Amino acid sequence: MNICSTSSTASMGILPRIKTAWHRHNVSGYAFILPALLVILCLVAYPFVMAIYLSMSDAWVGTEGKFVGFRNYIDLVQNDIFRQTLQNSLVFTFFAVTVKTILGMALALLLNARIRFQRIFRGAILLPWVIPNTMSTLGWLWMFDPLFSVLNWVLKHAGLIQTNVSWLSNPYWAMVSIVTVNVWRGLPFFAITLLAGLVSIPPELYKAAHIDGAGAVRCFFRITLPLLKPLLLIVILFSTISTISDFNIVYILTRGGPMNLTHLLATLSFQMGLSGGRLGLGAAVSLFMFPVLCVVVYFQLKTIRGGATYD
Amino acid sequence: MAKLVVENLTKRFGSVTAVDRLSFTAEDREFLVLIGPSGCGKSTTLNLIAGLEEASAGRISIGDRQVTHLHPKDRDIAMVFQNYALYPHMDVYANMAFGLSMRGYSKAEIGRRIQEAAEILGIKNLLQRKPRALSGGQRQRVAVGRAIVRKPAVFLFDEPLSNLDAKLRVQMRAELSKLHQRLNTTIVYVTHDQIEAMTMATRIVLLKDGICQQIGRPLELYTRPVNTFTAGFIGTPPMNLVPARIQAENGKMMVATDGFRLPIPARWRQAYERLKSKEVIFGIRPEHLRGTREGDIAVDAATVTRLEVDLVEMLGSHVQLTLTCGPERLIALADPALPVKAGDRIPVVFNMDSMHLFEKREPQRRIDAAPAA
Repeated sequence: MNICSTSSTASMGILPRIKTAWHRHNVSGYAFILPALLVILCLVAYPFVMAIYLSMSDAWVGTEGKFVGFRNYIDLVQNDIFRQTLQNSLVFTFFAVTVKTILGMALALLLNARIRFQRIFRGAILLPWVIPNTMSTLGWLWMFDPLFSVLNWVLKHAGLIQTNVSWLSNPYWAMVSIVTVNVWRGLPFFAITLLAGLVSIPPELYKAAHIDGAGAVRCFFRITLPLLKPLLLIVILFSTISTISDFNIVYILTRGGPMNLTHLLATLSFQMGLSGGRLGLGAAVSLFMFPVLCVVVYFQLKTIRGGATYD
Repeated sequence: MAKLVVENLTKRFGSVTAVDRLSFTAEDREFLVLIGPSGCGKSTTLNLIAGLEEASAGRISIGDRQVTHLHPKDRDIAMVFQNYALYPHMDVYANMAFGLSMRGYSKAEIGRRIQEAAEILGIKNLLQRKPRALSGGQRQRVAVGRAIVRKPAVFLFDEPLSNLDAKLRVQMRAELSKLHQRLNTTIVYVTHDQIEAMTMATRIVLLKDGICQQIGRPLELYTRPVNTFTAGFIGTPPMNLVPARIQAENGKMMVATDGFRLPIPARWRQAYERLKSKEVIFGIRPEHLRGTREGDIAVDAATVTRLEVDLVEMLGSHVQLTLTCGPERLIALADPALPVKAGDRIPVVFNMDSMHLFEKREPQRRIDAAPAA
């Protein structure tokens, strides 16, 4: 086939030649990905490389800055606020992702059960996910208000608290609050994705397991969970990345306070780099977790590839 | 090893009755086949026996125990599914061990039973493999193995061969029959394939629209179908069924249709006297209808009719002829050497000793010459 077309192109005009080459080298394939590639190059790759450069410079807003090597990173490690922020980020991400995983799994199992109005529930569950992030967080800000909020009013009238709680200015409750909002917003992603996984498990497997003597709990741990593992890991991976880089919730609710106890890497980076004008330091903050995340992604993807499939 | 008794079993899904007052008994060590067209309720029946569906009414007992409302795991049954339902994340050994470990058997006992089952099924070399690394036939064996390690009172098979290719299906059919002899246990087997039913069953339960049509040994269903549905369902190609009228003529009883008039064998004449001038359905199997050549006929010429050939299908061992008989079509068989082509008019011999008569009105019941015969 190849030999044929090569010998025949010799006698061809320029246009047919281009046509042949187009098909032979799969040029059409590259042509199709070109627009996406351009967008990624301009909006992801360029800022990323730029950030790496900035993080190794002492640039301020309005000044070019000069190369300082790892100076910014060393400064950060010695900075108390940064260390606090790093700890906040890990605590925030760990609890948010853990709670989302457990509740998401439970919600997916509930939505997969044969219940009335199943379609309505399945649709409604997506609402927190589709409401614009900033809007819904402003709603939460209003609910967390210490004096006039619905939350304190309900708790008080239910007899659970005596005095109003300052949700966002108490160090402990501030963290609980931002985790709660993150969970509220991220739960639909877990629930719907895991539901899709549950639906794809053949029902005969459960019939076989029932006959084999497995109850609901053992069915879950011996059949459902192992079969969902690859999907679950991907969902956790995506969620970890998006949670650790969360910005809106903290920026709107606490601005990092009280006493920097709810600062996350993104908000600290914004504060240092843009509000504070120290571009180099801000870039270093935002890139700090990059190598760590790379390692996490590598191991998680490796585990996923070894997962089970059914046909 | 136990008797399975199903009494007045009924299953309704909303307004649809999937199984309607079904009763049958699978004797100890019997190979009972549930058969019927798609949607006849055979798989639902099996699910009810397994406990995967809750019966709307009726009783199921296994051995001496009433199991109608027991959990599947407490019924002492094992089931083989059409798509095998092997646990994809476990290897073959773990698949077979699952049911035993759920029941708290010791590791040693589990190992012993799996080795024994693997030996019987010839899958000893596959124990460490995952299901996706197995062929269809091997998966089938593992699915059977998972059932037999449990040593249940009753085995349930839900169309276990329908996902296999034709050749493998024939082979597995024979293996399952042998396995039944070896295990000596009660089997309830669901299929839509009447050849599987005929070759493997000790008895067949034929269902249509959730209602039992006939229960009997394979040959019984073949030779004495109780209605036109059974007659048409069992046997390939199916029995020819044509509307006819019974007429008296010179002291003979005749079957008359738009295409032929043939005498009822003398020994049945008296018995069929009561049908005189009645409309009936005349049934005769293709193998009792033989296409021949002029001059070849060495039988009673009274049972010969000349019919036009519509289609000739050469099958090697014989020729299958589609004949025009008034508005109806008849299937007949002939010797492959018979020189015949579409459009020919050939003499067809009716083996009237093997004829069947059915009532014209639904459910078109069989009319027996002598009820006691």
